[in-house]
Amino acid sequence: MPSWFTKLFEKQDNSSMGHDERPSFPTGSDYLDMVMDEETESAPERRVVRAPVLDPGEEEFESPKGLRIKAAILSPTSCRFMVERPVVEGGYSLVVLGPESMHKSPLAEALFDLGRIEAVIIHGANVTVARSPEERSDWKPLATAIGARIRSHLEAGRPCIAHEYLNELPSESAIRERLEKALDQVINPGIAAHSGYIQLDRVEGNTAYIEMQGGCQGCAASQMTLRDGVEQIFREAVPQLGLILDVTDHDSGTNPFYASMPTDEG
Amino acid sequence: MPRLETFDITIRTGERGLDGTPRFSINGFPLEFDTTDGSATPGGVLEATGNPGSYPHSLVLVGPEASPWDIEEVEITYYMEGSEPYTVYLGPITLETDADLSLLYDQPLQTFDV
Repeated sequence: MPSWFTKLFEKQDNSSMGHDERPSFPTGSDYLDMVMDEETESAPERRVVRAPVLDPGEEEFESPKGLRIKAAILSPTSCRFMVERPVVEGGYSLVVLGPESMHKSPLAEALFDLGRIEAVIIHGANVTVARSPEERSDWKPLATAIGARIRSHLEAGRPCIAHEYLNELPSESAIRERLEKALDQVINPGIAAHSGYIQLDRVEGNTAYIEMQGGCQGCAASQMTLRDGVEQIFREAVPQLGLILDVTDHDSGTNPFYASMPTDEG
Repeated sequence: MPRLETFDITIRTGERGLDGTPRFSINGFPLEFDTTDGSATPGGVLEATGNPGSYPHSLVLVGPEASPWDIEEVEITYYMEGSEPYTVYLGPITLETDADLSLLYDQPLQTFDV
């Protein structure tokens, strides 16, 4: 039996319980500390570093005058537009899924007007656009039209996210409080069986940055956990939440779930 | 990330090299390269092929233990199941005696002005 498992119950047995006190169960961070302590004791610590990726060279497609915008095709259905300056300040982000919620964003409204567009995501200096999964044509003509629409919108000084929507958003502290409650009460107890633990790194505007630890760090299923579990619970807690960004360094976990699986050698 | 069948790697070493042949590690399990040619000695070029045949969440070049290793350039070509091979070029980095080098990089995005 691993020593962290024993320690977990030793801690419960030693906790003081008066008549009016609830049992003191360890928190997710207590649990993580125990796992990390054991890892530290049993293996020399090595770190994983990343080398700079060299630019393979960009394809010069067209260089229109004015605000510079670069397009990067992410998949057959999505393309990211990187503007040379932020399109929205203060860390705010917005996910517009379909024309029914485009009132939140004058920019999304302008882009949906082009047709064939299903979603628009706005954050920092990036605008990411998703088109219909049935669409198989070359991205470049549509990307050019989208780039021109973004440029004219920004050069006209129009907002990307509606001021009315931004004014109605909860404060960063209120968002943080609700997300931490969701983590403590719903998410972390659920993933503890995989030695996993998720913590809120920070909230900027209405954008959440999370960090996965323990068994979630480096786990091949971590993005599924994020997409299908964490995101849904977070959005129930804060319906106005923007993007949820994973800032975990998945290469350097000291206790990734798969690495802790037993081997034939024991 | 889809199943990684094979990867080819070319490592160009700088001033400080590595004695012997490096290993790689996938998902925390160390493995030998299946083929190697050349060396990682100072100024040397090592070409190697790994056949992990697995779904990687972590792929690293195991770093040195005795003294730092100066790497000038790394070229990695990935052969993933169900997709076209792609190549990533890494720039210079020094691996200290407690460091491994991540070898898992997404396909670089092709960008164009619009």
